[in-house]
Amino acid sequence: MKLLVFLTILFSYSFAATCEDEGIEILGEVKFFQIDGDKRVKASKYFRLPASWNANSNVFYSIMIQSKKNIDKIQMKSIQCTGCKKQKETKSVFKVDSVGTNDYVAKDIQMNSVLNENFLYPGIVDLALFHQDKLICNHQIKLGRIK
Amino acid sequence: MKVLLAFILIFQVSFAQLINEEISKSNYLLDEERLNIRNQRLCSQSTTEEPPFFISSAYKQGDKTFENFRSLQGKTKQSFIPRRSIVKVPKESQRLVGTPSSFVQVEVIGVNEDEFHNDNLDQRGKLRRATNNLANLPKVKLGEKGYLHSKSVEKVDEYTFVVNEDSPLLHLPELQEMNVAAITPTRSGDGKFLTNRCCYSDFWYMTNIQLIYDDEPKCTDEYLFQIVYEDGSKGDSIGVDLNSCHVVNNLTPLKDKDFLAMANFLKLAKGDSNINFSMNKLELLDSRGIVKIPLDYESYDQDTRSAQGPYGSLHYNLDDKGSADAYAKPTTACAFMEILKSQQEECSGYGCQIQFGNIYHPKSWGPHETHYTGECIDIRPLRKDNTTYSITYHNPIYDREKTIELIKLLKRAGATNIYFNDWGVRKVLRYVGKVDGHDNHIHFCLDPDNDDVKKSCRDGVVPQLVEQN
Repeated sequence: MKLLVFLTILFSYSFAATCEDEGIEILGEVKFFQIDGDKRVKASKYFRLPASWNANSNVFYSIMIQSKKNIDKIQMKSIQCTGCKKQKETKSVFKVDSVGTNDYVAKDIQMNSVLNENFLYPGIVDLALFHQDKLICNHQIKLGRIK
Repeated sequence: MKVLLAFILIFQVSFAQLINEEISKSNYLLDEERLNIRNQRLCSQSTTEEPPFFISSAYKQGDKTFENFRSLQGKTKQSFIPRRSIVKVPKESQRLVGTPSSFVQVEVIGVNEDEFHNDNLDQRGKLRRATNNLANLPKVKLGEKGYLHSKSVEKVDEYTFVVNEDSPLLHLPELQEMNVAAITPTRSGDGKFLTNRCCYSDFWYMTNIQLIYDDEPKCTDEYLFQIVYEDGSKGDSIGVDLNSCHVVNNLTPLKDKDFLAMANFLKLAKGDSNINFSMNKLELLDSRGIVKIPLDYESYDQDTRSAQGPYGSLHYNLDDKGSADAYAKPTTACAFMEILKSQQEECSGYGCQIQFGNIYHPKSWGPHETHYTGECIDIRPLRKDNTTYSITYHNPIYDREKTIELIKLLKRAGATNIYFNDWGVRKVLRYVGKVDGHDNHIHFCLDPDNDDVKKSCRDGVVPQLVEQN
């Protein structure tokens, strides 16, 4: 019975649709400067979370989700280090707030702490989006080993 | 009423100008008086085997910027001494310097003021354990006596000394005009140190036999130091009274092997007024032989994790507020600063800013495979607008023409191992390679042993050829 439950969970995780297939966009808020002469004006812009990330990619300040389906939770499901002997796993869960029609925001998620500082290169970060504990979709980011 | 106010204003401005003129004139007179006294001295030269001083380093301390300074009684840890501080060693203890396992008695006569560097190392960075803020001991004071490990004391032979901004030596006309004033002890043909005994009296005259002073002369014992120019050549000797206030304490020892690169690096750092560089802001990590590109830490922004760099550049994705990733080998750092300077001169307007990321990144720190040497640098492709976020060559604001010109500049400076994935660039510049992950940045190396890199550091980047009709 336990095995069946385990296989069901495994199946649901493995074969859940990707967020892209579901038409759900995961965006990262990027803060940057606009230089005008000697003046530096801080501005903000949203970029799709990249499929492949490296140390020259953007710093993500917060996560914005555009989805027609309700989302109330984002989980950093696993952080795999494909080059390490020891696997690192995480179950960090972040609250997602609705901020408008089809717009959701997760403010506390420290994407860059994970992407920049966990030394998991090459590696994979799996994100999972939920509504009332039901898995809606998965998003994977590859952490590229770079020259 | 308005007329009265105007008169008062004019009077105040004129009076202030007058005072300023008087102050600057009195400073000038003071300097002139000092120089006159110096010129009226009578000096007799001799030689000695005794070196003017020794340099402190650290033994088995890893990246720590300091060494333990031990008490005269019991040799317990009483304080810490920053690396490259200047110490005097009694004659009887000098034979122990450099021996495998003993302690050398020293007296501190110059303390390396490296607080700026240590505060940056303390910013939760990858090199945090190096900071002296974790020493749990007081810093040594001038005149403090104690013991140093025999391997933590080095001879002057391998060092050149940069004269800091506050040094009274900069009053000497020989040093005043230099961008980076530096000196090294003058040696005689047999390797001895040249010294001067110089005496000054208000009234003196010479007979056939001896000098006669009308009143008690004032004498000083000086060591002779040769002036070292930025190209490494040596000039006249000047007498340096080591007991004079603020003289030894305002010397920064630099290893001879790095001096040429470091002198040009310092000249470039001082040449950009926007980063407000001075010698006490030099961030030299002695344990790894790397120096940090000077940054305007005041401009550090947590949200964007960026800070302003020299010559209008931007350092992005800092590993930490202290930017442990911006170190490079001295020649690499120097040539890169020349690239930044040339880019500012050759490209103006939106999108010309060089935005640089990781430079020094040992394998244990993360993703880079080839940044552990401190010779390779990542920069973003140039763009058409004035923004500072990451772009790939697919982005509409990416500016291929400007990027091609920038890569040509890198090549002129001696850059090798250049990687950037845009085919539009690679078909024009066949030396640019393609490798995974390089859609959003250009990777290049400035090998310190490469002659073109050394030349760029020494003379600046070769100017671009002007196309002639």
